[in-house]
Amino acid sequence: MTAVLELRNLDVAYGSVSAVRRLNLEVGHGELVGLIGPNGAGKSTTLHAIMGLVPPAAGDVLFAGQSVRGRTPESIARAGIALVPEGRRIFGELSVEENLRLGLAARRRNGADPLAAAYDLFPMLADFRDRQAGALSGGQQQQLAIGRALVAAPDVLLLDEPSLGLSPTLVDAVFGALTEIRDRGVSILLVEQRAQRTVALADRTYVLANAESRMTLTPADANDTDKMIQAYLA
Amino acid sequence: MILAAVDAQTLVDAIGLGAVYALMAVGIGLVFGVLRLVNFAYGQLVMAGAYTLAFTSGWPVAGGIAACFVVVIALSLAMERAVFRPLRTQSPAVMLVTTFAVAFLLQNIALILDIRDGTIGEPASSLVQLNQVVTIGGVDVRKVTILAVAVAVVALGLLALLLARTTIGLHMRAASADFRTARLLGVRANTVIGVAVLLSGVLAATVAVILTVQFPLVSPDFALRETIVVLVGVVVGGIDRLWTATLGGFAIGFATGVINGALPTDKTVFLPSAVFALVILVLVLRPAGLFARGRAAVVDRV
Amino acid sequence: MRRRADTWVALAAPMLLIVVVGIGATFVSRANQIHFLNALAAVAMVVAIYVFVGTSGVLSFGQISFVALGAFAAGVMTVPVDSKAGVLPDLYPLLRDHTIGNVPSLALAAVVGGVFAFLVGLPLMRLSGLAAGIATFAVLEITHNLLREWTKIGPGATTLSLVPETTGALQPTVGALLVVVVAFAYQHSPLGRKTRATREDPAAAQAVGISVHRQRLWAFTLSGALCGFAGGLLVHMLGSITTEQVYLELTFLTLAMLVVGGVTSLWGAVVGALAVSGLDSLLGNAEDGISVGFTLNLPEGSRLVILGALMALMLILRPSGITGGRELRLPRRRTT
Repeated sequence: MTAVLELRNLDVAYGSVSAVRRLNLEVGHGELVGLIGPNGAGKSTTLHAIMGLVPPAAGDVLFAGQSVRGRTPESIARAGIALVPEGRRIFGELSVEENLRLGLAARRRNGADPLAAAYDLFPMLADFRDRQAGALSGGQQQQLAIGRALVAAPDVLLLDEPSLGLSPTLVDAVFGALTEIRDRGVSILLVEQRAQRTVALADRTYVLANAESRMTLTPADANDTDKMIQAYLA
Repeated sequence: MILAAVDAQTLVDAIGLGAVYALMAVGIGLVFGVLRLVNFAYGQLVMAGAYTLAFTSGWPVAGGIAACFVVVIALSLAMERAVFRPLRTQSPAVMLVTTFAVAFLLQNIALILDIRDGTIGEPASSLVQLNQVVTIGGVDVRKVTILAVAVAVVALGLLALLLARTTIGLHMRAASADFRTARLLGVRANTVIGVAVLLSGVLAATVAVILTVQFPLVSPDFALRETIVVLVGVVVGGIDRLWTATLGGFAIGFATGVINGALPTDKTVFLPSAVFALVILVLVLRPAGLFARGRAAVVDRV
Repeated sequence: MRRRADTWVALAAPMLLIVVVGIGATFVSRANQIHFLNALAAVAMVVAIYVFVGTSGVLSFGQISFVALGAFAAGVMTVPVDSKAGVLPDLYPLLRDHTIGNVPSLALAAVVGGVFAFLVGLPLMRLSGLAAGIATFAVLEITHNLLREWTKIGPGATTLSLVPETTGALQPTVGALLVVVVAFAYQHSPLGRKTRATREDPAAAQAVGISVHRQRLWAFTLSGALCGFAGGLLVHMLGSITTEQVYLELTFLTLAMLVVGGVTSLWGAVVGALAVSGLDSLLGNAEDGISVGFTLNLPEGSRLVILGALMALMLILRPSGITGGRELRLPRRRTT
């Protein structure tokens, strides 16, 4: 069975600096795949390349077997890949509901109650629907950002460090939501700095260090401290 | 002392001027919002509309106005395609200078077209009856002033509705705040930009119609002075948000009208210096604009 | 070693070009000489503008106001005393009763430009981007308004005439060379290098202790002085000046020259000024009808259209200009 998202020998550079080198990565249908690594390893760049924000220098990005390389970000979003960006990037001046309605731009099928997906998963959002999004707390904004991406009914959900700046309880909530999303049939690529939690959560986790993919880890490795250290320092 | 010289007549005229400037400010602000580009050539859109009205003087009024709208909208869409789109990745300074060049370009094309009949200036007299005056409560109000204010109120009201209630309006507001994230959510860049440019063209055509009533002789520098003043007003008001830009445009139009009406003519020769000195003062104290809240990311201060 | 040679080439190349144009001016007919002289004046102005816009990276629409001030200062103070009272009746007595020579007037022009730039720059250099563009445009407008209406310091809306002319190419050539040398010296001085640092990365520059405001102020003041000097050259070259000659159209032209040549290099400023001047002269002649193998007769006004189109195209297709924004270097021998 072909993977829903595949990166083949992906090379991304900023000018003469190589940010990602020969990356091979796969996300299967209904899988939750992690991508961890130290700061500056190229994790965010990988997600940006998938979404067409930065052109790959070489290699390919395949979505459901088709190359999406060279397409505009909005056309990739409309094809069924959604990104929850680093720092959430909420529209603070718009209301919660307006933020969610923005997500509808990429939606392919018009369901009966398109915003239900978000409100079901994060009931808090329904309570705050008319509030200005900028007034929400960090954790609530993270839920809004994920909800906004889900409203588009994507096949693949990309997340860029969703746990950044959140307390452990909130991280639990967010990771719990991710499991539920995965169970609903959405494939997930999760970029994170919290290595151990990610490895424990994901079906498989890639380790990216210094622009290259070092190894893959499974939940069984989550408690193997030596292996975790080796992944980061080798 | 100045206030004593300001009578109802001056106030009414000033409000009319403010209304026209507000319409132009919105046209400039809409494009800036989605493209982060100051269109120095905006005045040339108005000029093109005015020339169209002049060249169709023999047509029935509605036909002339329709032609004006068609030409201006076509020109603004062409400008977007040929100039704005290739510049999207450039720095603000490059964009600024390029629209400056386009402004000069268009002005001189108009000069070539105009001068074919041997003189500079073409009359656009189809709507001249709107320059007539009605007396309301002892004040002489030109019909065109009433039209200007009415049109401004309606146009701004419709625009506000569009932005607040429609999907495309939501997309435009999002794109103005954070274009990249909006695109990641599926908002089509070209659509949002196209709509903004279209609307700004409609506004420019409207302004052309209103201005030719008061200034029926159209020359290549038509609306040039007004554009410069509006641009200044928009930046001073705060170009980063549509309502502060509009308010800035209205304010500078209103202020210009009041001062022009209140001061005797021989004292107004140094008026531009006073106004521009004030502009510098405001910009130095509040580079993001008079009505802006705190610091904006668009203008930086060291 | 290579660096040293590069530096000399970077200075020698523009100077050589200027000298060539100056020599050319002495060999052509009277009618065509004005084109060469205009080109030299353009070089002086554009390099002066480059000293600020190119090194600091801040766009300014106001540099021509310093050219205007320099031109009027040099012009008013060199009109012979006996004629002055007649042509400029409202002048302040201090200005009316004194006259200075050619070279002192150039120095005066530079001082006036520099002082005005300094005063204006004190508040303005805190601004960048759009605010700086509008604020410097305001300076242009204020200068234009004052020069046009204040008859106590100049001719106002009428032409300032009877200014002693410097015939021939010597003064414009030497003047242009001087501006280039000063600009070059500034560029390579520690002061100039700090300013360039603020252009590349203002945040990083501030982090290492460079005061962005002060560096820009220095550049602005020097640019103002050089612009004033260029204005003095201009008024003596033409023998007269009006406020409209140093206003919007000249602002557009000089900015176009800088952009077309390449904003970030001295070489770009010189090349742009000469190239666009040349084209401008050619187009001006074509408007009157010239024969270049076939007869070329352009409609009146098309000169600015073509220049405007050229500038727009250059910015769209090659924003770094003809020179790519770099100084001229010795060709490198590839060793691999």
